[in-house]
Amino acid sequence: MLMNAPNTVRRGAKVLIIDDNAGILFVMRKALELKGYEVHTSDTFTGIDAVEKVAPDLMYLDISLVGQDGREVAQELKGDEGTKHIPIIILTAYPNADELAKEAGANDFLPKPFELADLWKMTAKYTAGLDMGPTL
Amino acid sequence: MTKIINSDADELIIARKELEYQKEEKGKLLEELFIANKELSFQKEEKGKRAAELGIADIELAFQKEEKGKRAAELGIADIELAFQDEEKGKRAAELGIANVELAYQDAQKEKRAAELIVANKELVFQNEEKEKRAAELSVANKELAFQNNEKEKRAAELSIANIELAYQNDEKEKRAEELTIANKELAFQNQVKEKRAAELIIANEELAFQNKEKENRAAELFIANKELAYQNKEKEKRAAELSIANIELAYQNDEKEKRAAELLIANKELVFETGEKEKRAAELAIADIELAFQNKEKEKREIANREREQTLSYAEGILGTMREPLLVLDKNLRVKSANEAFYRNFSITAKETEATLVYELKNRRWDTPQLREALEKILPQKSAFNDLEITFDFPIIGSKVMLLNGRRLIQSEKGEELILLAMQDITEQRVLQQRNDSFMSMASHELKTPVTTIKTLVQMLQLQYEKSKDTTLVEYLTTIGQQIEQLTQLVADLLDVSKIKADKFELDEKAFNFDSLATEIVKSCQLLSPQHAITLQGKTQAQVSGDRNSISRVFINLITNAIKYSPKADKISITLSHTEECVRVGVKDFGIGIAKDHQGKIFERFFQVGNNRGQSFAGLGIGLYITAAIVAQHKGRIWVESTEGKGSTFFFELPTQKPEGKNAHERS
Repeated sequence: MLMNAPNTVRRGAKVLIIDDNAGILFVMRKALELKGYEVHTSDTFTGIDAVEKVAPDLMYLDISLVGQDGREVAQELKGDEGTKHIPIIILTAYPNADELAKEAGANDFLPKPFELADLWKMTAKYTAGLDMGPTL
Repeated sequence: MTKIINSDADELIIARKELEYQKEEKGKLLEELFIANKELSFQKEEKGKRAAELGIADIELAFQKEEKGKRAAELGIADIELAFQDEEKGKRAAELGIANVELAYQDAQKEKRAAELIVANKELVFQNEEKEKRAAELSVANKELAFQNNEKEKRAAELSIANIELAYQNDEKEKRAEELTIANKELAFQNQVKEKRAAELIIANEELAFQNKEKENRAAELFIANKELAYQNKEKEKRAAELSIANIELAYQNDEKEKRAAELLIANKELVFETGEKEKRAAELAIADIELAFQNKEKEKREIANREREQTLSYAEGILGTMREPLLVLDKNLRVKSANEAFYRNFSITAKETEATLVYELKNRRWDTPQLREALEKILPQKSAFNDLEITFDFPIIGSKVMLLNGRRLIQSEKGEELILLAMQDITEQRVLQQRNDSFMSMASHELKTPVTTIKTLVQMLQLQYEKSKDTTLVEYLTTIGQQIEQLTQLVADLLDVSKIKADKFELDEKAFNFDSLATEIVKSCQLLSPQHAITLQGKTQAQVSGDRNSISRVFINLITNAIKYSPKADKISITLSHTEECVRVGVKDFGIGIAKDHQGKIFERFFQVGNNRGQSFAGLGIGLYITAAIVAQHKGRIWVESTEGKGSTFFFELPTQKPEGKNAHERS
């Protein structure tokens, strides 16, 4: 499985990760940068403007942020004209990830603990069609 | 002419010469003929010989034909075999071709990734510091975990004590319920007796009242008759006076006198009759007095009986009053007939607010729940009962209460009045403790998942980077870390499953699948876990089972890994498959330490571990068999163990097979 992860990502596909755990942010950044993605991370959601400024092609969003409910964050982003097109993937260690993603109005979910290969596959699935310029 | 003669002579000479030559030739020919004859006879002889040889050769040929036939048949078989082998070879060649292509592709990918990893490696080196910090954090988290585990064990111990207490209370409750039932029967009997006597008393009183009335009537008649008599006496006296005055006239009025004498005679007769009546009534009054005395005695007897009945009633009430469990008795219209002290205390309600109130109207209609309605309203029509109906009441002041309700139909035998006995047990506190425990497990496993994710991903990235490294120690260390992380992940998932099972949220993805091929697959992969044990699989079920294939895999794997774990000195594990019409059965037999008789019933309980008490230690949380049993139960199967301590154990489980009409069975699930 690992060996078959697509390797044809175009330079500059931007991924924003919001998770309150520094360890998760670190490994996800490293894993995605290894595949050529431009990775932005944050341990909290600071508002629609901040997201619009990064203008990610894909977002990973943790459900249980400090003082915030990831579901509400997702709903807010999906309700805004400027950000509703951004695919959101819910990251969670709760067993009912599928239901939580549905409630949040997110596009997909990645339950923790995930396999490295699944992280790559999920990211490729939502960025594969993008034309960002010359290939890496 | 001469010339001609000459020529004739010449011709003669020539002819002679010719003749001689021919003679010579004939001789030669004769010679040759002779030789040829000889040759012919020789050849004839040879031919004879050859014919003989040919005869022999024919026999030889026939024999060879037969041999050839045999060989042709053998060759035919060999050809079929060859064609089959060719086909197999073709298939394998195709498979090999595909595998080669795949391998070549993977090699290319691997090389690319190695290059990428080298780039990442440089960054990783710079971030060693951060990694070390995280290691420190992890060690703190581990200590916290160890502490929480301790706490957890304490709570498990507390829970097990609470369970024993509960079992004892249940026993007591059942005893009291039995006593109550007997007391109620006695009460019902006495009530009936009381009611009979009350009815008799009413009849007797009515009779008495009737007789009193009669007596009064007669007294009134007597009074009137006396007055009449007095009046007649007065008249008589008047007439006597008139007679003395009218003596003179009497002589003249003899006719009239005689008439009046006759009238007087009649009046006298009447008087005699009335006197007789008066005597009769006096006699009747005497009889009525005797009757009254008898009835008074009866009344006294009844009062004694009433006192006895009240004593029995207060005895029954005494029992009910001391019961710790709230109790209600309802009539057939679901109005409260009586309640015990515990009920009043538990629900902060008075007897006045309770008695004769419709059960649903109690406590401001908080008792009006659909569950209770459904359960109660079935009891009398269906002559049924219900046990351990769990209802949560939300009371404004006393708060939320979780109650277990048991309902029974009671009959007051001769009168036939139907009653409902409603016994309750307050399990609020117990439920809170359980919920706290379960939510702790759920939280703990959730919190564990985050660090596990980080470590797991990092290890996988390192493994990718150093896959081709010549540093065998590094590769070996990374492999071990990876395996341990997988185990940790499984433990966390197990913990979460336990809390899901406790919360009834354990879901199955049910589909029909071939049971034998699952068994073969599992045995093959489990064999890799322990080269020391030869794992054998015997028998076949040839059945389709409808269920969650992954969960049933876990049942298999848990039982086999247990067999490996608890037979460290054995060299084999045998698995047998069998089936009946309704189910498949699996036996997993090990030759290990076995399970003591008194532990065999407990091993499927949560957090129970065999071996703790005997100095032997086996790692694990003691939840494997609990989950295993829960999965089997959810598939409507059963699981049990047969074991002899020191000799080994055999774990069995049975699962129902799919019905022959397959599809329907699946749809039902």
